[in-house]
Amino acid sequence: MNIDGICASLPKEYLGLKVQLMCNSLPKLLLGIPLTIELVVISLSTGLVLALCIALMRISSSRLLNIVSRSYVFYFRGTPLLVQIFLIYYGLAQFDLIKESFLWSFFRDAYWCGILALTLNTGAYTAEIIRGGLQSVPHGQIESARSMGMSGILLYRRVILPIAFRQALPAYGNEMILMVKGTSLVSTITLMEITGIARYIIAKYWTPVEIFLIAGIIYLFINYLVTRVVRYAENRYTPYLQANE
Amino acid sequence: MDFIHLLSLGDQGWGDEMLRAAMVTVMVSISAMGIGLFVSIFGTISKLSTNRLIRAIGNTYTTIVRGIPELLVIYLLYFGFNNAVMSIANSLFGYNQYIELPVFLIAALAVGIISGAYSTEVIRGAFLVVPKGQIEAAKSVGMSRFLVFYRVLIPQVMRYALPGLGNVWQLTLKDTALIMVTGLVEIMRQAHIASGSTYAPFTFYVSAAMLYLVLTTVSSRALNSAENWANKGVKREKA
Amino acid sequence: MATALKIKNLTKSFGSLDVIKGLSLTANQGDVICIIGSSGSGKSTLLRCINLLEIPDSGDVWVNEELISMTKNKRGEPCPADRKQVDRIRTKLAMVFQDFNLWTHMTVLQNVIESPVHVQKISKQKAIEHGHDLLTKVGINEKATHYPSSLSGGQQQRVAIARALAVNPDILLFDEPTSSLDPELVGEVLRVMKSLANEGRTMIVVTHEMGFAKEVASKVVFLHEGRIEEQGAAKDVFNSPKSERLKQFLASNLEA
Repeated sequence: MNIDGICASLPKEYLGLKVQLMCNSLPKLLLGIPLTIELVVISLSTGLVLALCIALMRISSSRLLNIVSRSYVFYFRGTPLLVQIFLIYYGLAQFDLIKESFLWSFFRDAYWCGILALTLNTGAYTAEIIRGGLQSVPHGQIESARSMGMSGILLYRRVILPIAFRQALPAYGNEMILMVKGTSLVSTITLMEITGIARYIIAKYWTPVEIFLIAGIIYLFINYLVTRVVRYAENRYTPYLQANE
Repeated sequence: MDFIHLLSLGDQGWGDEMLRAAMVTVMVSISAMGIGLFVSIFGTISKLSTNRLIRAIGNTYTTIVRGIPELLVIYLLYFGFNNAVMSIANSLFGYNQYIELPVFLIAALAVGIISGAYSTEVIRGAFLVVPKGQIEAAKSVGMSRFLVFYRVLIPQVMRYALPGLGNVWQLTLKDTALIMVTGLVEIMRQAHIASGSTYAPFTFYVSAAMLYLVLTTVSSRALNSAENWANKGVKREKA
Repeated sequence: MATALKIKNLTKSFGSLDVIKGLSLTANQGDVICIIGSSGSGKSTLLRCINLLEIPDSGDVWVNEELISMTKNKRGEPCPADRKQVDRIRTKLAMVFQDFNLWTHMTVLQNVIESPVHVQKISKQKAIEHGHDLLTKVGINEKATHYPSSLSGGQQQRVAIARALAVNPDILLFDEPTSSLDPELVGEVLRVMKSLANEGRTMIVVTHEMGFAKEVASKVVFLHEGRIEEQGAAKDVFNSPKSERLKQFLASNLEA
């Protein structure tokens, strides 16, 4: 399969867009997908664990833990992801203390800074989703379980958590898509995921609209897959909620 | 120069520049939100239409704009608008110099189109949630379709849409940070310029973060009051 | 005596389900007609066809001897020919719903004056005065500036009745007005409805309250599977039912 051969058969320009160039750039952009997926998967999974800890801190009786978790969520939901990324990557480099410590090998690497920023960001939003899910469990369901003698961990495991999970599914599906989109921001700190590669190609050929269009289509496709996965999960776990198509 | 000096107002410090940039952020956000709401009127009409083609247009709009990273949408619209205006000027007037549209306009339009997609979803959802009985009661006392729409449907839709639109506002506010790639001097770009000049990125990005926090907090307080006003007739469910 | 309402050969189906299968009914001025029957017999649908909240598939409806003109829309489905006629006729046919349906964003008084002011173009002053009179009549004037959400079900339904009266209708339609109410609140609503009947108002009431029907109705209509199974004066229908199904229905409903 000769990509150049296939692309050469396309017209050079169509509707003002350099179609041949778009076709040639496609394989290069596709090379960015592994990094994008990697960023998404690592930050979502680490973020989920973090969010669970934050959620536990939130409902704990310790005032300190409460304040810490609430401030964390407040900060990361109240500021743009871009600021969070820049602060970690550019901001921390201001301090000699960090530059001279063992942490520097972590913080000077755009990859780790990106993962950290994405993880912290999704951690805050996911913590709120978990909190929302737990709160939206109808009281009646809990009371009926309690009235049968269920309590403590059993109550959580068999009634509260399964229901909270199902309530939170749509919101978490949305968060997954937001994370896929969020990875494009790490292109601003030199990471070569899809958007990063796109910007590199554009700097070379100066065809921003064409390249960003292709990149956009790639993201649409990835998000489409994510949406399908979420819908499958919704159908499997909440079949009673799905509208009759 | 230490923290306080860097951020002071006046000639030596960047404080006044940062505050001015914050004003720009607020103005772009308000413009974008307004554009978004305007667009969402058409989006909602389209998505609620009985005509399949019209519905498809609305669905395509919201799916694409919400499925592509905002950074890409902003890049696409920024370069796209400039290119489009230039080719129109070229073909219509034979003007082939480089045209650059005012950055504020493009920035507001770009974020506005993104904001509009989310607003469309919120308002559409609100329409579908209004209890049918409210409409039937209005019809049953002889209200024309216009009266039903204007006196009963719209007030109820606004009430249901307010929390969602509040979220869209917060989203829009934060999305304006991405405008920095267009060169418009809002908070992020100003912080970027200042840190380049002073080699104190932490100071300025922290200030940027603080400014955003102030904006989002003030917004959420205002939105809470608005929600309470809009719900004045309704018993709120205890959270 | 003028015919307030006349229905001829009404049919209505929802998809493949035939709900009303050829029904004719006449109501004179001052009649209080109670429609009874088991669920699914088409009672509510019949009522909703009168004020066109449901569009009948075929048949004619005359309100005050005026025929509601119907035609077919682009898809061949029946629809009203003149929207303005429908709006106008609806003001003669106020409806009280099972779920009250008070507008939640307006106060009690605003609910009552909404149609007089905006549809019938009555001056706001007059509408407010009339509104207060009606609210006093149903016994709830002290709540005029409250919002519906702060009222009990029975109070909300009484406001709904005042709202219906405010448009000066010729016929009052009641769609199971007490079915959503707690038993203790049913009485206050029935009392208001009784006084309306005593005033000589034309009322068509779909209800399960057999006691009310027995006491107040001038005619009782028993619906079964979309057709009128039996009809007649209240004491005839209740004390000497002729059809088997009516006997069964009364037996199962009166033992409660």
